Amino acid sequence: MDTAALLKSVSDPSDFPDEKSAPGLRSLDHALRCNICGEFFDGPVTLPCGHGFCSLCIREHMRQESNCPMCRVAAPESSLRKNIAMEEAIAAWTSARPLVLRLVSDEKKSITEREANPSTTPSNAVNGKKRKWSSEGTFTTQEAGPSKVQKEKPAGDSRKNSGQSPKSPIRVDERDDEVEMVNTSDIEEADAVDPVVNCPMCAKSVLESRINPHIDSGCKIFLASKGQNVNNWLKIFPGRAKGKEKQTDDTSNDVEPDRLPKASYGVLKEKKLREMLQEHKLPTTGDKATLIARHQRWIMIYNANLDRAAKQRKTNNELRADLARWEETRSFKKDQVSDGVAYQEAHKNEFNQMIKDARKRLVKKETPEKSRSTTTHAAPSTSGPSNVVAGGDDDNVADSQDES
Amino acid sequence: MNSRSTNSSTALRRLMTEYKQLTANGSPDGMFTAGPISESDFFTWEALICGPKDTPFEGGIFAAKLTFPSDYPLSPFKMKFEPPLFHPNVYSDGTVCISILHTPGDDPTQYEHASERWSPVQSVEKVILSVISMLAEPNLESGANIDCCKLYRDNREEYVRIVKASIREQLGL
Ligand SMILES: [Zn+2]
Ligand SMILES: [Zn+2]
Ligand SMILES: [Zn+2]
Repeated sequence: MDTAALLKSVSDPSDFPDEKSAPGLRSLDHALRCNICGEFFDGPVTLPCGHGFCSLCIREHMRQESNCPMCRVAAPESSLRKNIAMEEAIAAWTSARPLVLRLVSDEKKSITEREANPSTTPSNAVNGKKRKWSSEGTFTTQEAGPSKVQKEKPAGDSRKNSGQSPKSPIRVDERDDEVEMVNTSDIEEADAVDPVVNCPMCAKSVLESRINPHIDSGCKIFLASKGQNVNNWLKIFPGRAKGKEKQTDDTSNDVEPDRLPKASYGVLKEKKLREMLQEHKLPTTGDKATLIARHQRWIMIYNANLDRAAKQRKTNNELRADLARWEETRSFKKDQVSDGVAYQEAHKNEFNQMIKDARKRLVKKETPEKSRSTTTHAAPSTSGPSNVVAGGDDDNVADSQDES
Repeated sequence: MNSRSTNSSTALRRLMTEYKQLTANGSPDGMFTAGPISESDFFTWEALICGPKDTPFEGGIFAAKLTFPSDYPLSPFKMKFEPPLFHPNVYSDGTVCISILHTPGDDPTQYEHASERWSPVQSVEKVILSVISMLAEPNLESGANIDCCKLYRDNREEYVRIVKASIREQLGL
């Protein structure tokens, strides 16, 4: 069960029904994702061949091979161009996604109910038609049959419907607060009643009450504050104890910052390396190999960050925190093991937390629907191989199913 | 506003995504299943592969262990048939030798084309499909089990007989 819950917490195209029942939704969700990491493009860049990836994903690949992972056409790192239109499309889709999932799930629910109880839907009983997504992406049968779990609300009644025409009422349920953004200025007052937790997926700070919709959104929304990640390195920057002070950071001015050039480390003395690190306010501890690796990684994440739209960019302090976390993993790898098994073993707490959170989700989301869930996700077995179970496409919108 | 923190969390997330998609979509023609052996370890999977039709492997079901590195998918995973499989491209310990699981830097045979090697957009599904076609058509240029290669080349009948016998034995017939 835990595995099933964990899987539900991962956002991916199979959250949507298959192409037959909801044409285009899966492909849309897929088209906006990076084929290396499987997530929505983060700082999308395009190669000369036309293929696109997250800036950091492709830069990591290009340290090993200067080519496109899709078509293998040669491409140097300098040929990467950011894709602003793609980034805007992703921002729009990630904010629309929870609502679309909700609508799809409601539609599925309503089909299930009609099938289970055809007498309540006279129009369907007469012509024997089922409600289906048409190729235009609208419901082909619009009659609002009696429904126990849903309410019709006029568009104006709900914040999230504000963009909709009043002529086309959207079915929503009572929990209509999920697309509300958290006002970060409220966080401190809210701390006592609604503690900030670290998301098991992205490790960022999220209000406990928002953790589920946050994960649903692919970790894009409901971030509580940006300060959490910086903790480790606050010692290095005691003057910046608050992550909030974005305006003091050097990425906030209006001038587009320059990309950092690569250095040829072979000829550099350790002293010079330390100076170069100091220039970027990075730690200068460690042997020469560590200094070089740190500087290389810094240049990579710094340049990748510039492929994000200005308002999506991380501050330099956030990048430093990312670098610190990367070093932790790296030194761990180098000193002890090289495989993920041992990594996961050593980070048991994180994974346990992840499973605990997932279990919370499961209890919260599944209990109310047990009564009618004859076709829930095939729960992968917990011992022995977790077999893949084919079919049951329409079960995959479970992610967004609502309490009734 | 991004959800990446370290390489390993990228690996874990990517593995969860792959598993979720395999669970949701199944494999083509139900030719294989794959998933983590236990919920506490997403970096070790077991795959069960059906022997492809019209080959000596037809009727058999072959278990393989997949071991993922912490920088997956930048680096490929390892695949090992347990118990080992008698096949020209499988080492005697069961490890699969196939170009899609080799990075450009590690080509043991020098016979492989760059276009067939690992890249971070490959996946468990693509690799297993390649392994299934490898079962049907061994690649003698990058042999891993030399005796088996010779047998396959020089005495196909005996090769088929040994493979079929091992499948019957595996099924307890
Ligand atoms: Zn990516
Ligand atoms: Zn390409
Ligand atoms: Zn998150």
